[in-house]
Order: sequence, then C-alpha cells, then structure tokens
Amino acid sequence: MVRDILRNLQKDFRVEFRSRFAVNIAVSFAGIVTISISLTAGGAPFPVKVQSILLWVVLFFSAMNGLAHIFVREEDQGTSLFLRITRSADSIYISKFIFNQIFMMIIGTVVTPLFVFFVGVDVIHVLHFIMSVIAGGFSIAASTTPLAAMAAKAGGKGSLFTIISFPILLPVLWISISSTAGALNEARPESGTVIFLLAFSGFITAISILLFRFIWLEN
Amino acid sequence: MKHVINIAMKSVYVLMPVTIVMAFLWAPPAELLGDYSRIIYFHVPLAWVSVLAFVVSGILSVIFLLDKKNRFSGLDGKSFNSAAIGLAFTVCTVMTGSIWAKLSWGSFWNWDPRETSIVFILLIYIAYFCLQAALAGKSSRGKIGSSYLIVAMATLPFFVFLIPRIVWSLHPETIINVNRTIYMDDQMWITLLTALISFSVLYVYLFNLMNRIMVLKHRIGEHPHAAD
Amino acid sequence: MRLIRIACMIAAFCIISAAAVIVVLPDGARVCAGNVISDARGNDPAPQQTGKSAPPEKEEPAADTSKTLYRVTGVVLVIWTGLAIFLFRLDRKVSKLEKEITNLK
Repeated sequence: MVRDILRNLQKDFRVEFRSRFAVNIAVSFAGIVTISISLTAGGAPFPVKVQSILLWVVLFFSAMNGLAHIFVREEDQGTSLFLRITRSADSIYISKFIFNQIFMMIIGTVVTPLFVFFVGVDVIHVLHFIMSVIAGGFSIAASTTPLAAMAAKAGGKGSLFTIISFPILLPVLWISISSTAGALNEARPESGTVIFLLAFSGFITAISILLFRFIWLEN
Repeated sequence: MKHVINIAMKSVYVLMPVTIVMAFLWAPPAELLGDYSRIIYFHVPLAWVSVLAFVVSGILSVIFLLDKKNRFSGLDGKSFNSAAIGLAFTVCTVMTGSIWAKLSWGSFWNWDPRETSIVFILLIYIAYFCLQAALAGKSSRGKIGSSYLIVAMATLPFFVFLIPRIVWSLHPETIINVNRTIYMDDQMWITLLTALISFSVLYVYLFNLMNRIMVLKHRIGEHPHAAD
Repeated sequence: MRLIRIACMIAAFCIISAAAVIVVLPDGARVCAGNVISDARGNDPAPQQTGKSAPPEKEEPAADTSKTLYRVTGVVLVIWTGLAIFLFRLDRKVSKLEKEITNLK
C-alpha cells in the first residue's frame, strides 16, 4: 500500500508540475490581495488583531481556490473511474491528503513572507508565529481534503467547495487568528492554541479516513 | 404501540395553545425585563429543538452509513427531513434571540457563546442544503450528504468547547441562571417546561408527517425528494 | 413545497408573536429606538434626560398591561390555529393516501 501511495503522489506531482494550474491560481490570488491591501493602506499601521485576520483571510481564500483542484481535476479529466478501480480508497485518500498538505505548505511559505514584507508586520515571537501558520495550514488542508472530494462529486462548479468548507473551518480560522495575534503581541503566547489545531486536524483526519470510502465509492 | 405514539403526537394540538396561554397570561413577569421576559418561553424551546433536530439528523446519518444490510429504509431522506425542520427552527431561534438581545442589551447581535454556536449550526445547515441541492439526481446523494453531516457533527464539540475560552459572555447571566437557579420561580419554571415539551412534540409531529409524505412519494413512483 | 410552507408558518408564528409583544407593550417603541432597559450586568442605565423619555401622552397606566397581554395572546392563538388547521388537514390527506395505497396492494 505504501508503494501505491507513493506512486499516486508521484503521478499527482508530475501532472501538477506540467501545468502548474492550481499553484498559479492560489499564489497569484494571495499576491494580488496582499499587494492591494498594502497599497490601499498606504503605510498606515494596522492593529495586531487586524493583521492576523488579514493574513488568515488571504490564506483561507488561497486555499479555497487551490485545494479542491486535486479532486476536481480527476473528475474533469475522467481519470477518477480508473483510480477507483485500480487503487484502494485508503491509498488514494492518503496520497491526496499528503498532496494537499504539501500544497498548503507551499502556499503558506510563499504567502506569509510576502504578507510580512508588504503589510509591515512586526513579528515578536518568531517561533510561535511560524508554528501557528504551519499548524493552521495543516488543519486547513486536513479538513478540506474530504470536503474537496465531496465537492468534486457534486460537480465542483462555482463556490460549492467554499460554502461547505466554511463551517468546518470556522474553529480552525478562529483559533489560528488568535494564535498568530498572540505571536504578534508583546506578551508570551500560549502554546495551547497550536496544540488545539493539531488535535483538531488529527481528529478530522481520522474521521475522514473512515468516511472516505463512502464518498469515493459508488455502488 | 404505534397507536400510542400517534395519540401522543396529536397531543400537540392541545399542548401548544396551553403553552401559549401559560406563557402570556399565567406566568408572572420577570424582575428586570418585565413582560418582555415572556419571549424566553419561545426562544429556549426553539433553540432546544434546533439542536435536537441536528443531533437526530446526525445519528440517522451514522446509522445510514453503517447499515449495510439495509434493515432501515430511507434513512438518508429522514436525515434530510430532520435537517429541514432544524433549519427552520434555527432561523426562528436566531430571530427571537436577536429581538430579545435588542430588548435587554441594546444591540441586535453580540457574539457571545450561545449565539455563536447557534450561528455555527445555521451555517452547517445552509452548507448541507447547498451540497444536497448540488447533488440532486445523483445516486450518491444520500451518502455524501450523510458524510458531510458527520464531519460537521465532529467539528461541533470543538467549536462549542473552545468558545468559552476566548469570548467573554453576556449570555450565562440571563439564560443559564434563569434555567438552573432560583432566579426563576415555580410558575415560570413550569411554563418553560411545558413549552419545551410542546415544541419537542411539535418537532416529532412535523418529522413524522414529512417522513410519511416522503414514503408516499417513493411508493407513488415520483422522484424521491427533489430539492424542494 | 410543503417544507417551505411549514417553515414559513413557523417563522411567521414566532416573528409575529415577538413583534406583537414589542409593539403593543408601552415600552416597546422607546426601547427599539435605542434606550435599553438595563445593560449587560443588570444595572439600570443612568436616568434619561426628561426630554428624551417617553412623552406623557404615550404612557399607559400599569393596568393596561394585562389588556395588551390578552390581545397578544389572542393574536398568537389565532396564528397557531391557522398552523394547526393546516397540519391537521395535511395529516388527514396523508392518512387517506396511505390507506388507498395499502388497499390497492
């Protein structure tokens, strides 16, 4: 099974690398929003909470633009039937999950320095800041993988994916925002928030592995 | 047994008018708010029924997915019906709650824990119905809808337990106290209990009606339940 | 369609009863205009300027409150009766159809 997972991953990466479709969209979106925020603010400083909110809004919508792609592309190109027959549901889920995580890490690595640079964020507790962005990104990717499969099955058109992932991501967003705001404040940030995010993503991943075969397989 | 349940459900025709009369005429006005406090006899049961409908919907989804031998029929449709009733009641809860908030605290909406969790449930319902509408006509509709509801239910405890850590609350002083401590005298307590029971019976009655209509549609051969 | 009708009825039931309470009770209009009865911690707000409080001709004696309560109860009961008649007729139609179907079989 590990071999299956690795092979799936390899295939996904190769296809993605050829067209770079999803990465382009997500990163361009993030860049556009960050630059427009910075431009229109004209150098006026934001309060810490607002900076953190803006960062996570950018990350969230970049994720919404990009994360459904992995399943929607399968449906569009007609390869999903082939996958369903030849691979087990678990191996497909794990390979898509890893792909989405890496994708989210890429988005985070590109967007966060861009954001810090353009909006002029003063990061006081660097380690906590990085940890909270990573943990938040991990939770977002973990929660949205099963939802991406559902949205792809439902046609994947329009903003269905955004609508169905928003309620599930609401606690993630809330905690991530307060976590990054804590990293930007003077006081010592609490690590409980990062632990919450990791616990949440673990829980959701466990449930999605159990549920994935109901979403993926049709009988 | 079926007969007993049938009679029990029909009792809503008696219970609701009794509740209305009790709420407005029998129960005494509260200390701070005066007669405005009577909205509590509608707001609390509505909120209770929305959560109940959500939980019933979730449990039916779980059983539906686990039920490989198909011992129970039409569970995905029943979960859909329960969610539909839950949505209506949740919208009413939000409206009555904001009217009450305006009366006692001066603004229609403050983000305190109870309000936030009810908005959360509302968002899940809306997303669920969007998903069901997008899946109309596909055979996998029941399974995917049920999976979504289960993922949403899994998120609920995290959300409900995390809010009190973050947000200072306006709510507990009025609602939790009024529910559980001596701030309510006997007449108010009895009225609230009657209201809870009658709204729950109303929910069961509506749920039963919708299920029967759904089964009839199946039998007559129409399309199972096109997104109304 | 039935679902929408049921939802609309329940919503109308709740909104109209709440609105009736607000509009009919003497303080209702004043409160909705922005004066609160008490703030979050249960303290009464500072006494209003005399110019801003409810003008004398709108104040009703306390005995009127029970009359308005009777009116509100009446309104809400009427709404409930409408909903109840709808549900009752629906129930009868559904039972009739069920009987027909089992008879056909």
